[in-house]
Amino acid sequence: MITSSMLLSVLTFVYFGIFMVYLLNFLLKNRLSFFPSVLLLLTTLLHGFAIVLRWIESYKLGYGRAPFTTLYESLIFYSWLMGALYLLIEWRIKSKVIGMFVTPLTFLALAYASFSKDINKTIQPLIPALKSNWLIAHVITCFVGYAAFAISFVVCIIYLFKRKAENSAQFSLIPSKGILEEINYNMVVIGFISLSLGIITGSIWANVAWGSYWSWDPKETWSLITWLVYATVLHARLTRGWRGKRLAILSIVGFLCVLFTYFGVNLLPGLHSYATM
Amino acid sequence: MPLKDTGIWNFFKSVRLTIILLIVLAAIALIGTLIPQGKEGLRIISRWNPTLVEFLFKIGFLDVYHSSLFRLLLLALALNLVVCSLDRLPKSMRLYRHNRLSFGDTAFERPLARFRTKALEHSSAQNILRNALRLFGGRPEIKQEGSSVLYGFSQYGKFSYFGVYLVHLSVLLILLGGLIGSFLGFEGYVNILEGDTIEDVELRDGNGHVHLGFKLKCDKFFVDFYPNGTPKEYRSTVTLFLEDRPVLTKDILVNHPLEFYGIRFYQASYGKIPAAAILKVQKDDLLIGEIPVELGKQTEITDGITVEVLDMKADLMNRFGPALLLRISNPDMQPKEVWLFKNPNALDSLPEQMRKSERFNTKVFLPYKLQILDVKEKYYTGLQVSKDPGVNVVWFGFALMIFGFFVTFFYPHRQILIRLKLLSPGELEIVARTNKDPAGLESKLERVLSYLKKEISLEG
Repeated sequence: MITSSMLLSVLTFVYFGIFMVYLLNFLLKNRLSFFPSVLLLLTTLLHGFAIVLRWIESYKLGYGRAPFTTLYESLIFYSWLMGALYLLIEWRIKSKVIGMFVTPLTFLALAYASFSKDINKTIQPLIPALKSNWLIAHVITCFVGYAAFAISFVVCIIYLFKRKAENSAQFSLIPSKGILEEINYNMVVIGFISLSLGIITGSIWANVAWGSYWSWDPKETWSLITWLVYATVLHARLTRGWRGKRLAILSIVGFLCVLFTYFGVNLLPGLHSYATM
Repeated sequence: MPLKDTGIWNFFKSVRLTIILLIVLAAIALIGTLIPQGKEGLRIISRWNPTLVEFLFKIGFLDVYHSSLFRLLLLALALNLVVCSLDRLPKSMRLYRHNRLSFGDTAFERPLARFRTKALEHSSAQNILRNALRLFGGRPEIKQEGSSVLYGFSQYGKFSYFGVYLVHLSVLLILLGGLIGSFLGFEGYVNILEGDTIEDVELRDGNGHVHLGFKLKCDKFFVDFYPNGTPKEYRSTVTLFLEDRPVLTKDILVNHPLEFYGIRFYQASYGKIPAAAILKVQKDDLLIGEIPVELGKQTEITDGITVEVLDMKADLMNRFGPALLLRISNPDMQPKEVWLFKNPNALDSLPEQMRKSERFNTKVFLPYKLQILDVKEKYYTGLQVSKDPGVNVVWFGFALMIFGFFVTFFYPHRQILIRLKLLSPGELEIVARTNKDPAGLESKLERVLSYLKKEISLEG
């Protein structure tokens, strides 16, 4: 019987393969047509199935809990969300270039989850602090935000590339700078609202579990820092008319904050320590 | 001079100030995560260079989130939000009232679509226009000009200009809620042994106690583990007493606090400490009795003599074994405090001088002799106790913020104006406008246009 973690280990390599396919498609000037997208769609479905499978496995172990509580599980969910969100965008803008940058992120997240020695893959029972209906709402909203910010980051990187080599023939496959800016803005808006919802659900939960809706726990504080940076991005664009390189760099700073909120905070002591295991 | 032209107004209305404040607040919040904060942090920091620590203390970086610098910045942000919003509000009001495509030729200088139509009856033309406008959304308005020109107008989402103010108001409410909490609320904790009752809790910031106004007794504490050893459940069963009458018995679990008179009790920690013992009492080698004593309680061990257990250790200083700190009173003498050890040779390793200390002198009991038979451990439950009257204001702020986001980002003000010339052949022109999401408007217009073309186009 195949287990979810076995399936996910296999999928890690599949994602690397998909990255290669997207790269090849770019070099062949889109001659692979819809093949990369279909491949990614099927893999994403399989990946989603693995998450559901893990949920079922937890019931078989008698724990019965949503698969969103450990670092391993969050990485799996995160990489799945990035792929799914990217597919939506690809469908909207009909360009596969962004996929060349998103699939390696998905691959890296899954590879870290599946093969790092520091990560425990077993299904642990829920400790009392996590036994709450707020868990699912909190984790999903936060990670939808993180995923949107990841796409924003990728788009900003592409934007900076495109700026450097606007007239090269190979780069003509890349969407125009205007479209890239538009995607970045949309991703920042979606990410910002999701992150706000994540912080809000987290606050409500903390008020029930820890006795205060805000305790300046490092993860809380870093999520606020991230929120402030993206609030700056939105104000800079909407009221000061920032565009182009400046806004792209500010968005990239925002994503670095996301990464620190997600991983870096684990180096600091705090109440969110169960997310490091 | 009106407030609006003053330098202060101009300073606080700038969005550049907002951007600077947001970034500085982020930077200071960041500092707070790098330098260990508060009482907990002091333990780590005490190993750092004292001059540095003193400097950090002076600028408030050892408790940065409660420092005057941080509060001042939050105040500046609040002012900035208020002034900036008030400054922009009139413009939004104008847009709300007057941003409207007006009937007449000027609106149609650059129409988005124009095509020739079949000859139409007046009434059927009105119907088709109305249907097209309903497809667009909003309440259709039809206006006739002369005998052969019909205008159709519709709009929705005028409220969208105010979304941003809702978001700003929500931030102010959240800050206000925090302020109310910090003035009228408190955060404390209390450890209660099973069977004990408390009516005071210690404040987290070390500023003394809070009197609850009712009593809370821990009837039982219970901890359960999964087979692999991970904790599964912590549960305190407590009873509340109002004027010594029990009024409520409930379980407090993690994620399931108990609220009583606006004060909330959270399961925060637990522990086990030695809390009960059996004392064997002899007089001149004659057994008088084996008497149970409890931590913090006074017990009469024989006529007139009482002991109060001040402290109890399972292994004093990790070397002397079980020990009890007793305060012994008897009608004839001053109360004395003495450490009693279970192991009679416990002190042998100490220098003579120390062994002779009054603190260890069990001769004060004579002619009675006390011996510890058994030390029993008991659970205590650690409860976080807090009161925050500002919390509902914060919740309201949260809800308003989310609502405000949706209005701001996803709720556009869209309008459409159609002019239909009823000639043979006739002519139809469309103009439309949106304040956000132009792609959304386009796809909507496509639907309207395809309906109109199907119904009345000369070619269709």
